[in-house]
Amino acid sequence: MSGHFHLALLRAASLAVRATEREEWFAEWRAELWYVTSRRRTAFCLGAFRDAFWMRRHAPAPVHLQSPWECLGVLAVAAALSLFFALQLPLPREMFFSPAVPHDLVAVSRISFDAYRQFPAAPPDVAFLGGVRFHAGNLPIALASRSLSGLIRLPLAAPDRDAAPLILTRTAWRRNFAGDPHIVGRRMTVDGRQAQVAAVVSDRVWRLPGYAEAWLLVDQATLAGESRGYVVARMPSRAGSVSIPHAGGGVDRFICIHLAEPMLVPFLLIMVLGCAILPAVTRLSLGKYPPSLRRWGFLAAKIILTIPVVLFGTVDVLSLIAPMLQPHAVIVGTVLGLRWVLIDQRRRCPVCLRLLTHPTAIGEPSRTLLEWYGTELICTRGHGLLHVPEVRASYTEQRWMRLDSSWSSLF
Amino acid sequence: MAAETKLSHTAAMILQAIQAGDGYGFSVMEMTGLPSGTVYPAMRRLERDELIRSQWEKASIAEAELRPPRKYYKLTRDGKAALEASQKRYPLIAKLVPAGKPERA
Repeated sequence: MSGHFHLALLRAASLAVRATEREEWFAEWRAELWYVTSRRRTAFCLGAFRDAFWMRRHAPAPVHLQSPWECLGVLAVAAALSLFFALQLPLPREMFFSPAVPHDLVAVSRISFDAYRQFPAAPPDVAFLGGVRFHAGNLPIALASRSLSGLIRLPLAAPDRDAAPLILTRTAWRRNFAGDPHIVGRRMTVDGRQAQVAAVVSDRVWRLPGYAEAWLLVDQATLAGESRGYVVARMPSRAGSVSIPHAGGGVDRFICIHLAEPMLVPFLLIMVLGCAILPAVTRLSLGKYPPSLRRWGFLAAKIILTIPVVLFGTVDVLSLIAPMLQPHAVIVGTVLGLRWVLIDQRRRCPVCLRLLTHPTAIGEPSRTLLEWYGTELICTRGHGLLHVPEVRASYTEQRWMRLDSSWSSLF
Repeated sequence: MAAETKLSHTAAMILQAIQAGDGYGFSVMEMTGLPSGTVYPAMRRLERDELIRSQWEKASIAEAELRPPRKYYKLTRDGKAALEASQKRYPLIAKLVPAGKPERA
């Protein structure tokens, strides 16, 4: 494996180290890597992650996060910035605040072409999308009605008369056509038909059902060969379903999905899913302390401010690099964000809510079973000491020892 | 740190390797046979506890030997005392980690 790969591993690990120590840490590991044989280099570099995380765990907290008010202030600024960028970037704005599609646009899934013809709307207010019909290389292409572009207000480049318009997603454009800036207007043959690229659309702004990455707009006669697909239609009423009579005399009922619904609620549900994973990655216990409204209020405020930071921040960043991974990233972000909230809460003085400092190793590792062994932290304002056991077990819990006024002369 | 500081077996091996060998990270790995993910965090902990201290060598020395500069670790006075106590506690340490200088493989 190339040296660049191992240096990239070290560089990735270095991101866990505090910025002030990062370059020296990276320089040491890079220098040490020179001595390691190529066969052992990957294992050596993976060890760097453990070292980097050790450095992160034992780094003193940033001064601006020690005070509870400053911590909330930093979180509030981060939340405001995330929200600001969500309002400025096109994809998050479309997803959460102002969908690009008309407000009355609905999609119906798993519908036959015959049922589509009975749909209570007529072109140009309705369009049929087939399932993925064929692949051009690794590009999944579906057929769709010509009325589709007008329905979703997508302007198309004027196509040649003998070519069917082809709409590409941005991902397909980058992957299959190397991001060619002159792609619109290019002619190609798709499944024996002449096609011409008429538009490139953002993957998620255009929230159409199905897994196609390109749509070939064809006439009704060509679509008649499709067995099942999707219908996109304008439905002025807020109906949740549509009933279509079938040949046997009965009525089939189809659920309507409103495409203009903001994605905020689905993403909040994804965050709830992330909360369900949380107990697997950290303890939920916050330690045993006397009840304190101030302490619980601080915890609630941190959680409330962390939610927009995670949600909008993750979607903002992912919208620029990998929009399809947004739900996955929000789950990971939720787990990491709430894990930080809990760890931060456990490391705070229950009286003044400032972060505890001066971690000191206490006890002897070799006597774990007989004696107490762990880390002790202190409140710089003299409120008490926190004992954190090194060995995590069901019977070990961090303990807070309150210092009475007789200790005040030390602080 | 008190002179009677008691160390884990791994920490004692690393102190022994630092004293007996060249004193940079890779040499400690080679002498102890421990993986990088154990050695470097342990050395950070020892340095935090002031049992060892580190210093980069001069770039000119490294350039003359056509290799990158090393970050050398040395035992402090407390570190030496802790190692002596550990050698009494773990008599086989000196045999497990013999003095020697690793070569680049």
